[in-house]
Order: sequence, then C-alpha cells, then structure tokens
Amino acid sequence: MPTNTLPPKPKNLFPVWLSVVLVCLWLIILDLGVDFKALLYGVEDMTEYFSRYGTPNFSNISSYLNLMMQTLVTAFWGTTLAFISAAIIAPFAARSLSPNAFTYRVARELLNFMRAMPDLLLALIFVSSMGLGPLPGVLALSIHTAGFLGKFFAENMERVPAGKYEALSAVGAGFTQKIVFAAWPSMLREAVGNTLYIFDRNVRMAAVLGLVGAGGIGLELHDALRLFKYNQASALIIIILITIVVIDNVSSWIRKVLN
Amino acid sequence: MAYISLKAVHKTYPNGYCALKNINLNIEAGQFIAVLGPSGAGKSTLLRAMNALDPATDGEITIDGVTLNKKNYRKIRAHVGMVFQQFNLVDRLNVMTNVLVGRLAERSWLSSLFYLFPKMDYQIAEAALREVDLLDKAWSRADKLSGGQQQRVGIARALAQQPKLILADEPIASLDPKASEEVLKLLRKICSEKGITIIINLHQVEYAKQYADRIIALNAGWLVFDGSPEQLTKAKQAEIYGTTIEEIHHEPELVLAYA
Repeated sequence: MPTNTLPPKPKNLFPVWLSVVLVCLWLIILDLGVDFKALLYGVEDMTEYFSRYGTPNFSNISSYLNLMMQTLVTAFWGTTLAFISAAIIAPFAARSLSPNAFTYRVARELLNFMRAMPDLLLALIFVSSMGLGPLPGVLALSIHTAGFLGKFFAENMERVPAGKYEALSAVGAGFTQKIVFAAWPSMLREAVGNTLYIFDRNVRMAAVLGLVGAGGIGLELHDALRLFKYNQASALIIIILITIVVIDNVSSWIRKVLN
Repeated sequence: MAYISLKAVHKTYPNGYCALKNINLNIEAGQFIAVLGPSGAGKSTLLRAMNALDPATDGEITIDGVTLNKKNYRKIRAHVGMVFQQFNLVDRLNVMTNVLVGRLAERSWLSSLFYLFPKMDYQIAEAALREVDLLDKAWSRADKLSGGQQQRVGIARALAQQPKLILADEPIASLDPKASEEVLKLLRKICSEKGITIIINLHQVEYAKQYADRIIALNAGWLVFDGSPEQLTKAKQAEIYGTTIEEIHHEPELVLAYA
C-alpha cells in the first residue's frame, strides 16, 4: 500500500554483533592468560635474536645457488607429475564427461583424498621410507597438488557449455575424443593458469620440504640453523626470498598475458 | 520401406515431463522436412530422439533399416549429421579442425589424442568447406567468424560425416534474417543435390512453406499435422499454435510471437 510517510528505518544490528565479537575476544584473552607486558619484553628479545642475522655470509654462494636449483627442479617435477595425473583423473571427476555416477564418485573422492594428505606429512613418510634427497619431495608435492589440479581441471571441464560435448557425441565421438577435441581446447587458458599457480606454490613448499630432509635448499637452511650459523642462514633466506618473488612475478605476468 | 520410421515413440523425462506422445512417422529418403510447433512442443526432443542424444523411453526408431538400441548409438550417430542452434563449434580451434571433428567416429582414440587425421579426412573436410563456400576461412579460429559463417561451419562438420541424414535443431534461431536465408538455401541445396534427407526444426511458418517438401507439426508432444506445404492452411496453423484464425488474420506477427 503506497503511503505518504517514510517507513521506519530497518534496524541495523551491526553494533550489537561487533560488541558480541569484541567481548568474546576479550574473554578468550583472559582465559589464555596472555600477558601483554611479557609480549613487550619479547619484542626486545626478538630484536636481539634477529640482529644475529645482520651480516649474511655469501661465501658459499655457488653451493647455495646449486641447492636452490635443486629445489626448483623438485618443484618442477612435482608439478609435472601432478599435471599428468590430474589430466588423467579430471575427466572422470567432471560431471559432464564422467561415464557414470560411480566413476565420478570414485574420482572425486580420490582427488579429495590426495588434497587432504598434507605434503609435509607425505614428505616425512617418503623420507623415512626412501631416505634423504629430492625424490621424496617430488612425490609428496605431486600427490598433494595433483588433488588440487585435478579438481581445478574437473571444474574447468564442467564449465564448458554442454553443447560442445553434445556436438561431439552427435558425430559419434568417444570419451577420449570428447576430452581432446572439446574439453581441452576450451579450457586450455584456465588450465595453464592453474598449473602456473601450483608451480608457484610448489616452489615455496619445496623450500620448506627441505626442512624435513627432502633435499634442496631447505635442508641446508635447517642444518645452518641447527649449528647456530646465523650468517649463513640469513644468506640462504635471502636467496629463497628473491627466487620466490621472481617466480611469483613471472608466473603472474604470464597468467595476465594469457587472460 | 521408409528410410526413417518411428513407431509409437514416447519420451518421458526423468522429472516426469512427457515430451513426445505416441509419435508414428515414416520418412522417405532425400526429403526436406520441416518440423513446426510452439516452444516446448517437443520438436527438439523428436530430433534428439533420432540420434539418441535424448533416447526415446518407449517405441521404436529405425533409420536405414537399423533399429536404435543402446549398443549402436555411436554407430548410428557416425552417419547422422546434426546442426545446432548455438553452432557448438570449439571456439579456440580453427575451422578446419572443427570440420575434421566430423571424421572422429572413424578414427581411433589414440590418433585423436595427437590430433592426427589421414590425408583422406583432410580431402573430405576440404570438400565440405567448398560446399558451404568457406574455404578461405579454413585456418581462421572458429570464434572469429560471424554467426552465419559459424553455422555454415557446423553444416560442413555434418557433411564431413558423409551423412544420409542431417538433423537441424533450430539452425537459424540465433541468426539475422539474411544469414537465415543463406543457411536455409544451403540446406535446401544439399538436400536437392546430394539427396541427403534433412529434418529441420523451425519457428517460422513462412520459411517452412517456402523450403520444405513436407511439414510436420507438434503440439504438447502430439503429432498434430503431417502434410505438404499446400495443405498447411491458415486454419491448420491456428490449430497448431492454439489460436483462432481471426487472431492470425489481425496480427500477421502472431505466428512468430507464438513460435
């Protein structure tokens, strides 16, 4: 019913929710017994600790760069294996392509399982079973990230308009032919973007995996810290940071060009 | 015996919607047949039942002496061309590859994996492109073409299957009037010169009368008209579209509006 007067303003509950959240946070702090004074002293200790990293020692630079290369290669092969397994599993995990409901379920659950296995844990298991070196790192990365890539690819395949697959069905094409002639050409750009993103992430992770013995620059960093060689450790951290930033920028540039 | 025969064909979708009710049809080879009817009458379902994209739930469909059953879908589809409203080309592949898709049923999945086609297939595709007068666009990307050109590529893809039957599901519904005329003339030429049977869904009664040898009309899943273009009087049209003759006389656009 139209009226002449302004209807009452709807109530805004934001301040109520904000105060509830703040009260909860305060109660949590009380419960944990966080002491802000200790935190301030901590800052002093931290600055002292970080000052030990002040003079990076690059005398072993060639060996460091070699190890960084090893880490990059680990990430590269991890991503390559992940790409291959994801490309094989994804069509079964895409609703519009999967031959039947059973294979769809199985493929989805397989990808979920792979994603759910943390790569750090996988690396620990593989290092214990195969010994130190980059191979356990490659396997750990490939299993974990194949789960991600497979899901990305499957979703890309589901986004391809159903008509494209239908046209292939209508000429009597089979499962593989539908994947090769309809799915991949339509989603290539997105798939390349996804793979670069995963490579990016794998470079960062490969450096960390070294800490559990899976080869590369991480292992060296781990040893340096254990032996209190702060200057060498800081040199290693700088090399890792620069590499990651460069790779990050290159891959985001490529993704931008592709879009 | 008729080239295509439908006996007591029913189609009920999983959601319970009954799209085709007791359809009995005999179609002679080499005819140009237009299917008319309001939206939702079951025109698309009828065509899609003939190549089993939406298999009939009851009844029997025989094409060229072969009765459709679950096992021979791919074999039947290999020689039944289909032309779609949305063209359904793979946008990022070139025109030639899109036409070669018509050859896929004859090729193994392994050679398809590498986009390999024998020389013979290229010759067939070239002939198909010559037929639709698009040889000069052979190496352009499919999505760079105009709507009318894309639909002609769709027809070339169907021709590359070396079909005896082409099903055209509203091939001109996304095209402007000029491109529509071109596509219809092309289909009519293919029918007359090559003796390929063409079954085409249309919204425009005038086009159907102008091009078809025989007109079939559906309404709410029932076959309500089957005869020559001359037999399709204004009174019959009113019956098909569920309006009165007066309305059609007063509003020449009404037939289109109901389409």
